[in-house]
Amino acid sequence: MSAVAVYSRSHSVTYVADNILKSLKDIIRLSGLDPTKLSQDWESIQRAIRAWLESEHLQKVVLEIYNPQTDALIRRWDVDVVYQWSGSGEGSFYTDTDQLRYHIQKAGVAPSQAKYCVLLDNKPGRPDVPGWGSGSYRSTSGLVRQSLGSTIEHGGLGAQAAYWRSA
Amino acid sequence: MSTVVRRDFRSTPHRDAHQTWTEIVALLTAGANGASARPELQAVAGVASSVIADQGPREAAIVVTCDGPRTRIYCHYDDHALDESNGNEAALGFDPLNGDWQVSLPVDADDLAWVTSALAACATRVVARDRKSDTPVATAARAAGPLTVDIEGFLKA
Repeated sequence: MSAVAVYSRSHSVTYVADNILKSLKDIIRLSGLDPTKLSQDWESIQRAIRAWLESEHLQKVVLEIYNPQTDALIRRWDVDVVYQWSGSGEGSFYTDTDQLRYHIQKAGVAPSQAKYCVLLDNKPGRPDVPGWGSGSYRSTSGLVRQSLGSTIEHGGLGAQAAYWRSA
Repeated sequence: MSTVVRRDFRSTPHRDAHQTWTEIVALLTAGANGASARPELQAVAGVASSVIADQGPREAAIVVTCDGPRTRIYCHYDDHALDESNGNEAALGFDPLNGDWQVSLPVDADDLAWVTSALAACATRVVARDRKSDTPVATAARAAGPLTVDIEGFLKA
């Protein structure tokens, strides 16, 4: 006997949110940094990503790796959200861990004293999520953006990774 | 020889990694010692969520030992998580945190160093081990015990 799973939009949100966080953890660790701070903020980041995926306000998740002495950006990772809900109730689970790992290693290890922070970029009119407020990006001047393509996807909800590196 | 009990939790995308850990903590702290253990288990929620999101408990169990039966907890993912028949989250018929308890998280070898360090900063009874090994990193001596049969797991397989 075979069974056919029926997916809901909530399933797609849960899958993509979890795998965005997992990808951030992998980026941080493979960049030579300690993911402990991310783990401490895990619940808050997950709650916000889920809320803003469900409301379709979330445009991108940004990981800034910066020099704590100068506050200058060393490298930046963008996870751009793509909303193309299939609504069919079908779909496979897709996370391209290998592609991400290849590009993280290609980007190289960050200086050991580097710090990082996570920012969530929303469309105007987002609903409030406790613990989250307005912020600003560090300058990307002198950096160039390299796209990796689709890295996470389910049911038409997906994420495409890119990173900013020295020109 | 100690008794071993198995439980199976439906994780992503049925529920996210943090919600999965919250449900596991609820199961473990339902007994008489739960109230005193709950703060330590909640303190490691972020690290445990990362381990669950990494699908550490997919093939290797979260192992809970105490002065009583041993509990092995697995998580199901993707299509398997949406099949209700794969879950067994029923209350335990004993206190899994009775006496000298410990929770061992199965971690990918590449993550073992930071997870071990992060756990040590906020917990004494929650440890990490390589998910391909049965030996907790911080308490290798504790693992030396009699071999047991996972009867529920065997019957379920």
